[in-house]
Amino acid sequence: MPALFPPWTNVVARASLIAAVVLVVGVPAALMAWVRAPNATRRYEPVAQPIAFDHRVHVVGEHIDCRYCHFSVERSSTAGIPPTSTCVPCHSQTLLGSSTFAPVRRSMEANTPLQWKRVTSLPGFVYFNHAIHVNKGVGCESCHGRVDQMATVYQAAPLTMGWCLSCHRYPAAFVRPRAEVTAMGYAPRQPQRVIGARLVREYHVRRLTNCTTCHR
Amino acid sequence: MTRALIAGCALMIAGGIGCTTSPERERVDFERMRVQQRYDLYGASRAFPNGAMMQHPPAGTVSRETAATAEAGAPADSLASIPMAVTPQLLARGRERFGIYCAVCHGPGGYGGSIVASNMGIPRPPSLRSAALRARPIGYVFYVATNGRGRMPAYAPQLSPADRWAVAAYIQQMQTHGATTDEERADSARALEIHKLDSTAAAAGRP
Repeated sequence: MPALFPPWTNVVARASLIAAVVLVVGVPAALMAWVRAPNATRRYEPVAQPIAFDHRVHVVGEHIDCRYCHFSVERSSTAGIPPTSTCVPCHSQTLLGSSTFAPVRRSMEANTPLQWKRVTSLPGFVYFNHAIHVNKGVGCESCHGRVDQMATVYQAAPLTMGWCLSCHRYPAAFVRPRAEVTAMGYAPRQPQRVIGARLVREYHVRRLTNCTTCHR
Repeated sequence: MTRALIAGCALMIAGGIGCTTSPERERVDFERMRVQQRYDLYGASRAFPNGAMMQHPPAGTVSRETAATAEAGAPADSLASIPMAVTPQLLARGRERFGIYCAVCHGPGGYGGSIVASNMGIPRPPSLRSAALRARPIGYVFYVATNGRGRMPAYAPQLSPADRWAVAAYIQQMQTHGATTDEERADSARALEIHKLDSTAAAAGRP
Protein backbone atom coordinates (compact mmCIF):
# COMPACT_ATOMS: atom_id res chain seq x y z
CA MET A 1 0.00 0.00 0.00
CA PRO A 2 1.50 3.40 -0.99
CA ALA A 3 1.93 6.14 1.61
CA LEU A 4 -1.30 7.98 2.34
CA PHE A 5 0.49 11.38 2.07
CA PRO A 6 3.11 11.57 -0.69
CA PRO A 7 6.21 13.77 0.03
CA TRP A 8 4.83 16.88 -1.77
CA THR A 9 2.07 17.16 0.81
CA ASN A 10 4.75 18.36 3.25
CA VAL A 11 5.09 21.49 1.11
CA VAL A 12 1.32 21.89 1.02
CA ALA A 13 1.11 21.56 4.79
CA ARG A 14 3.81 24.21 5.35
CA ALA A 15 2.37 26.51 2.70
CA SER A 16 -1.11 26.24 4.15
CA LEU A 17 0.24 27.07 7.60
CA ILE A 18 1.84 30.22 6.17
CA ALA A 19 -1.32 30.96 4.21
CA ALA A 20 -3.40 30.61 7.36
CA VAL A 21 -1.19 33.11 9.19
CA VAL A 22 -1.36 35.50 6.24
CA LEU A 23 -5.12 35.15 6.05
CA VAL A 24 -5.78 35.52 9.76
CA VAL A 25 -3.19 38.19 10.55
CA GLY A 26 -1.92 39.68 7.30
CA VAL A 27 -5.20 40.40 5.51
CA PRO A 28 -6.87 42.18 8.47
CA ALA A 29 -3.64 44.07 9.16
CA ALA A 30 -3.40 45.14 5.53
CA LEU A 31 -7.05 46.24 5.50
CA MET A 32 -6.59 48.17 8.73
CA ALA A 33 -3.53 49.88 7.29
CA TRP A 34 -5.46 50.65 4.09
CA VAL A 35 -8.40 52.42 5.75
CA ARG A 36 -5.90 54.72 7.48
CA ALA A 37 -3.92 55.45 4.33
CA PRO A 38 -4.32 58.89 2.71
CA ASN A 39 -5.81 57.26 -0.38
CA ALA A 40 -8.67 55.76 1.61
CA THR A 41 -9.23 58.75 3.93
CA ARG A 42 -9.08 61.11 0.92
CA ARG A 43 -6.44 63.14 2.68
CA TYR A 44 -4.53 65.71 0.60
CA GLU A 45 -7.06 65.48 -2.23
CA PRO A 46 -7.83 69.03 -3.42
CA VAL A 47 -11.58 69.56 -3.79
CA ALA A 48 -12.54 71.71 -6.77
CA GLN A 49 -15.15 74.34 -5.85
CA PRO A 50 -17.72 76.16 -8.03
CA ILE A 51 -15.44 79.21 -7.83
CA ALA A 52 -11.65 79.17 -7.80
CA PHE A 53 -11.65 80.69 -4.33
CA ASP A 54 -8.12 81.14 -3.05
CA HIS A 55 -7.74 81.22 0.73
CA ARG A 56 -4.15 82.43 0.38
CA VAL A 57 -5.23 85.72 -1.15
CA HIS A 58 -7.78 86.41 1.55
CA VAL A 59 -5.90 85.18 4.62
CA VAL A 60 -2.31 86.15 3.85
CA GLY A 61 -2.89 88.89 1.29
CA GLU A 62 -5.83 90.71 2.88
CA HIS A 63 -5.35 89.78 6.56
CA ILE A 64 -8.93 88.51 6.90
CA ASP A 65 -9.65 86.45 10.01
CA CYS A 66 -11.19 82.98 9.46
CA ARG A 67 -14.24 84.09 11.43
CA TYR A 68 -14.99 86.96 9.08
CA CYS A 69 -16.50 84.43 6.67
CA HIS A 70 -16.89 81.34 8.88
CA PHE A 71 -18.81 83.45 11.33
CA SER A 72 -20.76 80.85 13.27
CA VAL A 73 -17.76 78.76 14.32
CA GLU A 74 -17.87 80.04 17.91
CA ARG A 75 -21.56 79.44 18.51
CA SER A 76 -22.73 76.67 16.21
CA SER A 77 -21.86 73.10 15.39
CA THR A 78 -20.85 74.20 11.91
CA ALA A 79 -18.20 76.79 11.11
CA GLY A 80 -20.59 78.48 8.70
CA ILE A 81 -20.35 78.78 4.94
CA PRO A 82 -20.47 82.46 4.03
CA PRO A 83 -23.60 83.52 2.15
CA THR A 84 -23.16 85.14 -1.24
CA SER A 85 -23.80 88.50 0.43
CA THR A 86 -20.43 88.14 2.20
CA CYS A 87 -18.54 88.06 -1.10
CA VAL A 88 -20.42 90.75 -2.96
CA PRO A 89 -19.79 94.00 -0.98
CA CYS A 90 -15.99 93.76 -1.43
CA HIS A 91 -16.18 92.29 -4.90
CA SER A 92 -18.62 94.87 -6.19
CA GLN A 93 -15.45 96.63 -7.38
CA THR A 94 -12.94 93.91 -8.02
CA LEU A 95 -13.57 90.74 -10.00
CA LEU A 96 -17.36 91.04 -10.12
CA GLY A 97 -17.35 91.26 -13.91
CA SER A 98 -14.88 88.44 -14.42
CA SER A 99 -15.82 84.97 -15.64
CA THR A 100 -14.37 83.43 -12.47
CA PHE A 101 -17.01 85.29 -10.54
CA ALA A 102 -19.92 84.23 -12.77
CA PRO A 103 -21.30 81.63 -10.28
CA VAL A 104 -21.44 84.35 -7.59
CA ARG A 105 -23.33 86.68 -9.92
CA ARG A 106 -25.77 83.93 -10.81
CA SER A 107 -26.24 83.08 -7.15
CA MET A 108 -26.89 86.73 -6.34
CA GLU A 109 -29.35 87.27 -9.18
CA ALA A 110 -31.32 84.05 -8.70
CA ASN A 111 -31.14 84.19 -4.89
CA THR A 112 -29.94 80.60 -4.75
CA PRO A 113 -26.99 79.58 -2.59
CA LEU A 114 -23.61 78.71 -4.06
CA GLN A 115 -23.10 74.97 -3.89
CA TRP A 116 -19.71 74.64 -2.23
CA LYS A 117 -18.26 71.15 -2.08
CA ARG A 118 -17.59 69.71 1.34
CA VAL A 119 -13.89 69.14 1.98
CA THR A 120 -13.79 67.81 5.51
CA SER A 121 -16.51 65.22 5.82
CA LEU A 122 -17.36 63.08 8.82
CA PRO A 123 -19.62 60.02 8.73
CA GLY A 124 -23.25 60.53 9.74
CA PHE A 125 -22.71 58.76 13.07
CA VAL A 126 -20.14 61.31 14.27
CA TYR A 127 -21.56 64.42 15.92
CA PHE A 128 -18.90 67.08 15.71
CA ASN A 129 -19.35 70.55 17.15
CA HIS A 130 -17.06 73.37 16.07
CA ALA A 131 -18.07 75.77 18.84
CA ILE A 132 -16.91 73.64 21.76
CA HIS A 133 -13.56 72.92 20.13
CA VAL A 134 -12.82 76.53 19.23
CA ASN A 135 -13.95 77.82 22.62
CA LYS A 136 -11.73 75.30 24.41
CA GLY A 137 -8.68 76.43 22.49
CA VAL A 138 -8.40 74.03 19.56
CA GLY A 139 -6.99 75.98 16.64
CA CYS A 140 -8.48 75.86 13.14
CA GLU A 141 -5.07 74.83 11.93
CA SER A 142 -4.95 71.80 14.26
CA CYS A 143 -7.55 69.98 12.15
CA HIS A 144 -7.75 71.91 8.87
CA GLY A 145 -4.01 72.44 8.37
CA ARG A 146 -2.42 75.49 6.82
CA VAL A 147 -5.44 76.68 4.88
CA ASP A 148 -3.59 79.97 4.40
CA GLN A 149 -1.19 78.09 2.11
CA MET A 150 -3.76 76.11 0.13
CA ALA A 151 -4.68 77.21 -3.37
CA THR A 152 -7.47 74.63 -3.37
CA VAL A 153 -8.46 73.40 0.05
CA TYR A 154 -7.89 69.76 0.86
CA GLN A 155 -8.53 67.61 3.90
CA ALA A 156 -5.37 67.93 5.98
CA ALA A 157 -6.06 65.43 8.77
CA PRO A 158 -6.75 61.69 8.45
CA LEU A 159 -10.08 62.11 10.37
CA THR A 160 -9.84 58.58 11.71
CA MET A 161 -11.15 57.86 15.19
CA GLY A 162 -7.61 57.23 16.40
CA TRP A 163 -6.66 60.70 15.22
CA CYS A 164 -9.60 62.28 17.10
CA LEU A 165 -8.70 60.32 20.23
CA SER A 166 -5.06 61.39 20.12
CA CYS A 167 -6.27 64.83 21.17
CA HIS A 168 -9.26 63.72 23.25
CA ARG A 169 -6.87 61.65 25.40
CA TYR A 170 -4.17 64.31 25.79
CA PRO A 171 -5.73 67.70 25.02
CA ALA A 172 -2.90 69.48 26.83
CA ALA A 173 -0.60 68.64 23.96
CA PHE A 174 -2.74 70.55 21.47
CA VAL A 175 -4.70 73.41 23.10
CA ARG A 176 -3.68 77.01 22.50
CA PRO A 177 -4.88 80.37 23.90
CA ARG A 178 -8.33 81.35 22.63
CA ALA A 179 -6.91 84.54 21.19
CA GLU A 180 -4.70 82.45 18.88
CA VAL A 181 -7.36 80.03 17.71
CA THR A 182 -7.44 81.33 14.14
CA ALA A 183 -3.69 81.98 13.94
CA MET A 184 -1.95 80.09 11.16
CA GLY A 185 1.55 78.81 11.82
CA TYR A 186 1.03 79.22 15.57
CA ALA A 187 4.06 78.53 17.74
CA PRO A 188 3.57 78.48 21.53
CA ARG A 189 5.56 81.19 23.32
CA GLN A 190 6.31 78.83 26.21
CA PRO A 191 6.85 75.06 25.96
CA GLN A 192 3.54 73.38 25.05
CA ARG A 193 3.56 71.20 28.18
CA VAL A 194 3.60 74.34 30.36
CA ILE A 195 1.08 76.33 28.35
CA GLY A 196 -1.08 73.25 27.65
CA ALA A 197 -1.37 72.28 31.31
CA ARG A 198 -2.28 75.87 32.24
CA LEU A 199 -4.92 76.23 29.50
CA VAL A 200 -6.48 72.86 30.30
CA ARG A 201 -7.02 74.10 33.88
CA GLU A 202 -8.14 77.56 32.83
CA TYR A 203 -10.61 76.44 30.14
CA HIS A 204 -11.77 73.36 32.10
CA VAL A 205 -10.79 71.07 29.26
CA ARG A 206 -11.74 67.49 30.02
CA ARG A 207 -10.44 64.25 28.58
CA LEU A 208 -13.58 63.05 26.83
CA THR A 209 -13.10 59.51 25.62
CA ASN A 210 -16.60 58.12 26.15
CA CYS A 211 -18.21 56.67 23.02
CA THR A 212 -21.22 58.93 23.55
CA THR A 213 -19.06 62.06 23.38
CA CYS A 214 -19.15 61.79 19.61
CA HIS A 215 -21.48 58.90 18.79
CA ARG A 216 -25.12 59.44 19.69
CA MET B 1 -31.68 20.37 -3.27
CA THR B 2 -29.60 21.87 -6.10
CA ARG B 3 -32.70 23.41 -7.60
CA ALA B 4 -33.58 25.05 -4.27
CA LEU B 5 -30.04 26.45 -4.04
CA ILE B 6 -30.18 27.92 -7.55
CA ALA B 7 -33.58 29.42 -6.88
CA GLY B 8 -32.30 30.92 -3.63
CA CYS B 9 -29.25 32.45 -5.33
CA ALA B 10 -31.40 33.90 -8.11
CA LEU B 11 -33.72 35.46 -5.54
CA MET B 12 -30.79 37.00 -3.66
CA ILE B 13 -29.29 38.46 -6.84
CA ALA B 14 -32.67 39.80 -7.95
CA GLY B 15 -33.19 41.31 -4.51
CA GLY B 16 -29.74 42.89 -4.58
CA ILE B 17 -30.33 44.47 -7.99
CA GLY B 18 -33.79 45.61 -6.95
CA CYS B 19 -32.35 47.33 -3.89
CA THR B 20 -29.51 49.09 -5.65
CA THR B 21 -31.63 50.48 -8.47
CA SER B 22 -34.50 51.84 -6.39
CA PRO B 23 -34.34 55.65 -6.08
CA GLU B 24 -33.91 55.56 -2.30
CA ARG B 25 -30.68 53.64 -2.59
CA GLU B 26 -28.97 55.53 -5.37
CA ARG B 27 -25.75 55.48 -3.43
CA VAL B 28 -24.78 52.03 -2.14
CA ASP B 29 -23.79 52.49 1.47
CA PHE B 30 -22.07 49.33 2.61
CA GLU B 31 -21.56 50.69 6.10
CA ARG B 32 -25.21 51.74 6.36
CA MET B 33 -24.72 54.35 9.07
CA ARG B 34 -22.18 56.46 7.25
CA VAL B 35 -24.84 58.29 5.25
CA GLN B 36 -27.89 58.83 7.42
CA GLN B 37 -31.34 59.96 6.42
CA ARG B 38 -31.30 63.38 8.02
CA TYR B 39 -30.74 66.96 7.05
CA ASP B 40 -27.48 68.53 8.18
CA LEU B 41 -26.90 72.28 8.29
CA TYR B 42 -25.96 73.71 4.89
CA GLY B 43 -27.23 70.57 3.21
CA ALA B 44 -29.30 70.39 0.05
CA SER B 45 -33.03 69.76 0.07
CA ARG B 46 -35.52 69.08 -2.67
CA ALA B 47 -38.32 70.38 -0.49
CA PHE B 48 -37.61 74.07 -1.16
CA PRO B 49 -37.40 75.91 -4.46
CA ASN B 50 -33.90 77.29 -3.83
CA GLY B 51 -32.60 73.80 -3.10
CA ALA B 52 -31.24 74.62 0.36
CA MET B 53 -32.06 72.95 3.65
CA MET B 54 -31.63 76.17 5.63
CA GLN B 55 -34.32 78.75 4.91
CA HIS B 56 -34.69 82.40 5.83
CA PRO B 57 -37.17 83.18 8.59
CA PRO B 58 -40.44 84.71 7.32
CA ALA B 59 -40.34 88.45 6.65
CA GLY B 60 -40.83 90.56 9.74
CA THR B 61 -39.50 87.95 12.16
CA VAL B 62 -37.93 89.50 15.25
CA SER B 63 -35.52 87.36 17.22
CA ARG B 64 -35.94 87.23 20.99
CA GLU B 65 -32.39 88.50 21.33
CA THR B 66 -33.22 91.58 19.26
CA ALA B 67 -36.49 92.14 21.06
CA ALA B 68 -34.71 92.01 24.42
CA THR B 69 -32.40 94.92 23.55
CA ALA B 70 -33.11 98.58 22.92
CA GLU B 71 -32.87 97.88 19.20
CA ALA B 72 -36.50 96.94 18.85
CA GLY B 73 -37.82 99.90 20.81
CA ALA B 74 -36.26 103.36 20.51
CA PRO B 75 -34.23 103.88 17.34
CA ALA B 76 -30.68 102.98 18.31
CA ASP B 77 -29.03 105.49 16.02
CA SER B 78 -29.89 108.41 18.24
CA LEU B 79 -28.77 106.80 21.50
CA ALA B 80 -26.06 108.99 23.02
CA SER B 81 -24.78 106.35 25.44
CA ILE B 82 -24.22 102.62 25.40
CA PRO B 83 -27.25 100.89 26.95
CA MET B 84 -25.14 98.50 29.01
CA ALA B 85 -22.35 98.75 31.56
CA VAL B 86 -19.05 99.47 29.82
CA THR B 87 -16.80 97.03 31.67
CA PRO B 88 -13.24 95.93 30.82
CA GLN B 89 -14.80 92.63 29.70
CA LEU B 90 -17.12 94.42 27.28
CA LEU B 91 -14.22 96.44 25.87
CA ALA B 92 -12.08 93.31 25.50
CA ARG B 93 -14.91 91.59 23.67
CA GLY B 94 -15.36 94.68 21.51
CA ARG B 95 -11.66 94.77 20.72
CA GLU B 96 -11.68 91.11 19.71
CA ARG B 97 -14.81 91.43 17.52
CA PHE B 98 -13.46 94.67 16.03
CA GLY B 99 -10.31 92.78 15.04
CA ILE B 100 -12.34 90.12 13.25
CA TYR B 101 -15.11 92.07 11.51
CA CYS B 102 -14.12 95.75 11.37
CA ALA B 103 -10.32 95.87 11.13
CA VAL B 104 -10.50 94.03 7.81
CA CYS B 105 -11.57 97.32 6.15
CA HIS B 106 -11.23 100.08 8.76
CA GLY B 107 -7.76 98.91 9.84
CA PRO B 108 -6.65 97.47 13.19
CA GLY B 109 -6.43 100.98 14.61
CA GLY B 110 -9.56 102.28 12.93
CA TYR B 111 -7.57 104.69 10.71
CA GLY B 112 -8.84 103.10 7.50
CA GLY B 113 -5.38 101.97 6.45
CA SER B 114 -6.13 98.28 5.92
CA ILE B 115 -4.83 96.29 2.99
CA VAL B 116 -8.41 95.79 1.79
CA ALA B 117 -8.91 99.57 1.84
CA SER B 118 -5.75 100.16 -0.19
CA ASN B 119 -6.91 97.59 -2.76
CA MET B 120 -10.38 99.12 -2.99
CA GLY B 121 -11.35 102.06 -5.14
CA ILE B 122 -13.01 105.28 -4.02
CA PRO B 123 -15.01 105.61 -1.79
CA ARG B 124 -12.74 103.75 0.59
CA PRO B 125 -13.63 102.61 4.10
CA PRO B 126 -13.47 105.79 6.20
CA SER B 127 -11.42 106.38 9.33
CA LEU B 128 -13.32 105.74 12.54
CA ARG B 129 -11.38 108.52 14.25
CA SER B 130 -12.73 111.37 12.14
CA ALA B 131 -14.25 114.43 13.77
CA ALA B 132 -17.44 113.81 11.79
CA LEU B 133 -17.94 110.39 13.35
CA ARG B 134 -17.02 111.61 16.82
CA ALA B 135 -19.68 114.29 16.52
CA ARG B 136 -22.34 111.62 16.01
CA PRO B 137 -24.06 109.84 18.90
CA ILE B 138 -22.58 106.41 19.66
CA GLY B 139 -25.84 104.79 18.65
CA TYR B 140 -24.93 105.69 15.07
CA VAL B 141 -22.01 103.22 15.18
CA PHE B 142 -24.41 100.54 16.40
CA TYR B 143 -26.89 101.48 13.70
CA VAL B 144 -24.32 101.25 10.90
CA ALA B 145 -22.97 97.94 12.22
CA THR B 146 -26.55 96.63 12.22
CA ASN B 147 -27.72 97.91 8.85
CA GLY B 148 -24.58 98.69 6.91
CA ARG B 149 -23.96 101.92 5.05
CA GLY B 150 -22.87 102.59 1.48
CA ARG B 151 -20.81 99.62 0.43
CA MET B 152 -20.44 98.31 3.98
CA PRO B 153 -22.73 95.31 4.50
CA ALA B 154 -24.90 94.79 7.57
CA TYR B 155 -23.11 92.89 10.30
CA ALA B 156 -26.21 91.86 12.21
CA PRO B 157 -25.82 88.19 11.16
CA GLN B 158 -22.23 88.06 12.43
CA LEU B 159 -22.54 90.26 15.52
CA SER B 160 -25.22 89.90 18.16
CA PRO B 161 -26.72 93.17 19.48
CA ALA B 162 -24.53 92.87 22.60
CA ASP B 163 -21.46 92.37 20.42
CA ARG B 164 -22.35 95.41 18.32
CA TRP B 165 -22.54 97.54 21.45
CA ALA B 166 -19.24 96.04 22.60
CA VAL B 167 -17.67 97.09 19.30
CA ALA B 168 -19.24 100.55 19.60
CA ALA B 169 -17.82 100.86 23.13
CA TYR B 170 -14.38 99.82 21.89
CA ILE B 171 -14.50 102.34 19.03
CA GLN B 172 -15.52 105.07 21.46
CA GLN B 173 -12.60 104.18 23.71
CA MET B 174 -10.21 104.00 20.74
CA GLN B 175 -11.17 107.51 19.65
CA THR B 176 -9.85 108.94 22.93
CA HIS B 177 -6.21 108.02 22.24
CA GLY B 178 -3.82 107.56 19.32
CA ALA B 179 -2.22 104.43 17.96
CA THR B 180 -0.72 102.29 20.71
CA THR B 181 0.50 99.10 19.02
CA ASP B 182 2.79 98.60 16.02
CA GLU B 183 -0.18 97.26 14.09
CA GLU B 184 -2.17 100.43 14.79
CA ARG B 185 0.78 102.69 13.89
CA ALA B 186 1.18 100.82 10.58
CA ASP B 187 -2.54 101.31 9.99
CA SER B 188 -2.22 105.04 10.64
CA ALA B 189 0.78 105.34 8.31
CA ARG B 190 -0.89 103.40 5.51
CA ALA B 191 -4.08 105.45 5.86
CA LEU B 192 -2.02 108.63 5.37
CA GLU B 193 -0.35 107.13 2.34
CA ILE B 194 -3.67 106.09 0.78
CA HIS B 195 -5.07 109.55 1.44
CA LYS B 196 -2.03 111.18 -0.20
CA LEU B 197 -2.26 108.93 -3.28
CA ASP B 198 -6.00 109.61 -3.57
CA SER B 199 -5.52 113.40 -3.37
CA THR B 200 -2.76 113.32 -6.01
CA ALA B 201 -4.98 111.24 -8.26
CA ALA B 202 -7.90 113.60 -7.70
CA ALA B 203 -5.70 116.62 -8.45
CA ALA B 204 -4.55 114.99 -11.69
CA GLY B 205 -8.16 114.29 -12.59
CA ARG B 206 -7.79 110.52 -12.46
CA PRO B 207 -10.53 108.46 -10.85
